Amino acid sequence: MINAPILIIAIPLLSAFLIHLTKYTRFKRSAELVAILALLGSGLALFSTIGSVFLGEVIYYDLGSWPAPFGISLAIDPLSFFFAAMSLGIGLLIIIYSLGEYFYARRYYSLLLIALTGILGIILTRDLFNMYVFFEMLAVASYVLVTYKHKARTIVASFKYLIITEAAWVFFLLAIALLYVLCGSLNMDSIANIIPLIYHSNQQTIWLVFSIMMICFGIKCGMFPLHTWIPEVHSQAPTAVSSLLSGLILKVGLYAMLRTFYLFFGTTLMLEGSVSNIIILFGVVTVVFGACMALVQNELKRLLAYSSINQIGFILVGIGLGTELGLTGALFHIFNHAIIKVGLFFCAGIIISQVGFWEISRMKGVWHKMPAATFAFCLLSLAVIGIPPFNGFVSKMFIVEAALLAGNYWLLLPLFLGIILTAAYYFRVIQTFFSPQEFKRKEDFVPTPVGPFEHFSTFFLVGLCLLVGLFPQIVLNIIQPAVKVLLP
Amino acid sequence: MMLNLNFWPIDPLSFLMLVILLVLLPMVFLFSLAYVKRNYFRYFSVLFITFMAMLGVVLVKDFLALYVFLEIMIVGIYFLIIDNTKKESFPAGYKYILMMFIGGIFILVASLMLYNLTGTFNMAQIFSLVPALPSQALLPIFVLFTIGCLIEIGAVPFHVWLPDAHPVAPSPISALLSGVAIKVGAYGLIRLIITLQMNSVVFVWLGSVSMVFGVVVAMRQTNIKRLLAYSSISQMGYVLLGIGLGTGLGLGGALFHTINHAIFKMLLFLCMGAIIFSTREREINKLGGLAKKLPVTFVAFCFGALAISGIPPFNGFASKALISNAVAGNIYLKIALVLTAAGTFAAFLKLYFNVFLGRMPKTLKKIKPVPFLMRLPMVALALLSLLIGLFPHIVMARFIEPIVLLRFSYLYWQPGLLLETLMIVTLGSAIYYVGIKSGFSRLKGEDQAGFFSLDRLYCALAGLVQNFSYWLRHFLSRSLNVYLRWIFLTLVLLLALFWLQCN
Repeated sequence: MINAPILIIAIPLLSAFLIHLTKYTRFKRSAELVAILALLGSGLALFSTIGSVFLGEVIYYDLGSWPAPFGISLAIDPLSFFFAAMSLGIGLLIIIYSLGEYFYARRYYSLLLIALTGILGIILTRDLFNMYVFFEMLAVASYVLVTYKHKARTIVASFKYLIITEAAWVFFLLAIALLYVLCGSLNMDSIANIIPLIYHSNQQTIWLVFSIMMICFGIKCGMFPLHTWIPEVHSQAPTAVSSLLSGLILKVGLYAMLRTFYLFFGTTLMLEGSVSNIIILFGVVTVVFGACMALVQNELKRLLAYSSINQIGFILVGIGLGTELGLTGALFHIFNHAIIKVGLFFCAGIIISQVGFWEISRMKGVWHKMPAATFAFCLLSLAVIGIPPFNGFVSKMFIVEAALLAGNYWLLLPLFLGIILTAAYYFRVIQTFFSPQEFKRKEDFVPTPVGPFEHFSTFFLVGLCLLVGLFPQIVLNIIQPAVKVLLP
Repeated sequence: MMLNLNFWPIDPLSFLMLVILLVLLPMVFLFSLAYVKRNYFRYFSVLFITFMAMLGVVLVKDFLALYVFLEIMIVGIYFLIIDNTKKESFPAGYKYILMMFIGGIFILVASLMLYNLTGTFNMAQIFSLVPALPSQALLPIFVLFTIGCLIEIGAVPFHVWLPDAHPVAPSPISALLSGVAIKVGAYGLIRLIITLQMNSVVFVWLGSVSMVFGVVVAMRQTNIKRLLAYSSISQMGYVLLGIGLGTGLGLGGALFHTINHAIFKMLLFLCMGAIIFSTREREINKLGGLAKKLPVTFVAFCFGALAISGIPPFNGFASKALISNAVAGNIYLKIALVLTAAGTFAAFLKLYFNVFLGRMPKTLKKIKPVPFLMRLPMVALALLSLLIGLFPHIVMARFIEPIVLLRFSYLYWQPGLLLETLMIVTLGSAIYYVGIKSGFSRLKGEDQAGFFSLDRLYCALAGLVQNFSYWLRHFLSRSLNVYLRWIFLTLVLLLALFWLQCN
């Protein structure tokens, strides 16, 4: 258990290379088996810590036995536990979905495991530079995953993704350098201890660091003017990769934002009203912008991408409010949006692979051809709109209630505009699915059989949405200690 | 802040709504059994979820849970409206779900504000805490919740979804919408007024505008279901008027009219549903002479039409008599009441003469008989309408007097009211005659929205958002250079903000 932090990262990383050796085995699906076993093993290591983490103990692991301020340390606290458990669960479902979607080669599963290693590393590490390294690892793996099908459009999208995210990491590196100059350490805990002491003499530098971090994590999580890569990449990537991007990679940006902002600036900068107002302002603009853009998209996956931007806005508002209720709502919405949006991408993948095109206006009468996928899509979109008794309702209500309690009545208008527009664009899709059938079996209609794996992973998520919506206490029990980490 | 599903104790108001639902929902179910021809599983599963949600709304004693059930009901009804998957049902369903959703959000915000003020969603606890609270803190809550409920009811400035959704929905669902769903909104309003112990005279004005507007527009309609839909707006005006009067008599009249309207409007919609089922026509000028072919439907329709016009001895008379007594002093409201009743009579005379009497058009040769499962609910509702009209004091004593804590079972058979009825019949016939001769009460023609139509206003608002979004999509280039420029501009913006903060 004391070695759990390193095992969580090492098992998927080693398995990513082990997968290439499976070509010497006779069993056809051994690569998939190794990937699933790796995630299960990593999950087992994570859950071995559950008892002590929720008793309030933080489990540290020093790499190479170098003590904390000098060496790299990994740590599991309730916040990391929450994100790590979410990532492992969704990673597992994405692998199960991939089993049926397409005949992916070993390379795919290997890259997927490397990406997941990067995600887990970002979540567990307590060293800023190490976080940067894991971010790069995640980014490189995901560029290659996006272009998995080697089409011209995917390569263009991946190139845009590459340039924009690399810009983000350049900014991150700059922020790390500035912090190292200021504090003389790269360990997050010691930076957090030093910043309050030097805050008053170095106010402008700290604001510069904050702005730069806001830019780089904003790019990663899809904040309004920095969201540009999201619709490009989501619409071109294979479905499983789109769901990985929307479900986990955006959330990792949010995790880094939560962790650094509250850990470093929690007792200084975040207490100043203007900073939280800036985050709220960006969140609100993101909500309305994402909703407006999603309203006029004609490609299903691009619509889902803009819907992700819209939902990220709600989370940013929760983060900006910074109250206990606001952060609970934000973390809960991170979880809910992850499971809902992954499910929606699965449904979209099933539907698009069946009808052979991605324009919504041509998808009339999809209901007659694939009632199961349409049913799941309807339920998941109800969940993302925030209609009870699904889970999206609970977290959105928390964020709205936090805004009300903070006295920010002006916030209600854009938030509700966002919610109503969410309903507007999802019901536009739903009514197209139920419209009288127009498409015939043309040459572009490529029927591919939908296997049990796709349906299992989709309906598992639908069930989870309903379960969490009916009994939100299940997730709130994990979230509340995580909020305590952010607001000591 | 957790969802709390407590249904106990069932107080008189919930009990009243429970009885209405338990009587009316089986009628919808029976009619559906004969009406629905395909997709049984989808239709009935959604129908039962909707029934469950309706029962939940009226039974639950917690504002948050009320909102939750309301939303489930709305989504269920949306999927029922679009169940026939015809082209014209989608825009109407879209309008329905969006407007209902906006109404729901108003209710949710009001509930959350109430929670912040009192620390609970529980109705009984809020009721006991309200006297100690300042009234200026309660006013925004009251206004927001009321707007939400008015949207659910379809009262006049928020009625635009109602005449669109009713004609395109499957007939049992039109009956469900008008007979039950809008009553659920009225229940929410009455529940709020009782809990917060507040009331407003605005309801009187909104109610009288709804009454007159609904009936005037109803007279012009050529689609039989659309005519009934506008008539529903008018009849819910009576309910709002009674609520707004603020007296026990007014509230009692409103509640009684809620029951009666639920019964006779469901009856009328089921009759129209039977006609549409057997002839496949819904325009007045393509119908006619059906009295001989569909005798049971004809008799049931006559019962319903007499009841909705307030002619004794049917139930509409009893509740309209109560409301008429409640406005006794106000001559303008009295005139509005009489005019509305006369207009309603004229509108239903139009249906009577042009659908059931007159010459049968040549296109109507194949008329399917109405199945027993459709006739059964119609007959039951017609008899119920007559029975309540004959013995209104039983219903009053058992269901309504416990709510308003007053006794007024003696107010029905007064000579003044009978005189009023006579006036309504004469005036109504005259309006019908003048309307047909002058062409105001059309028999054919498209229903075009006028320049001052509220529907246009709402559509223009929605169009504005859409045009803005198209402009935004057009405005944003998809070039990588632009993307990088955005990043640097954001950095400059952030630094500028901090610089401003610094100085």
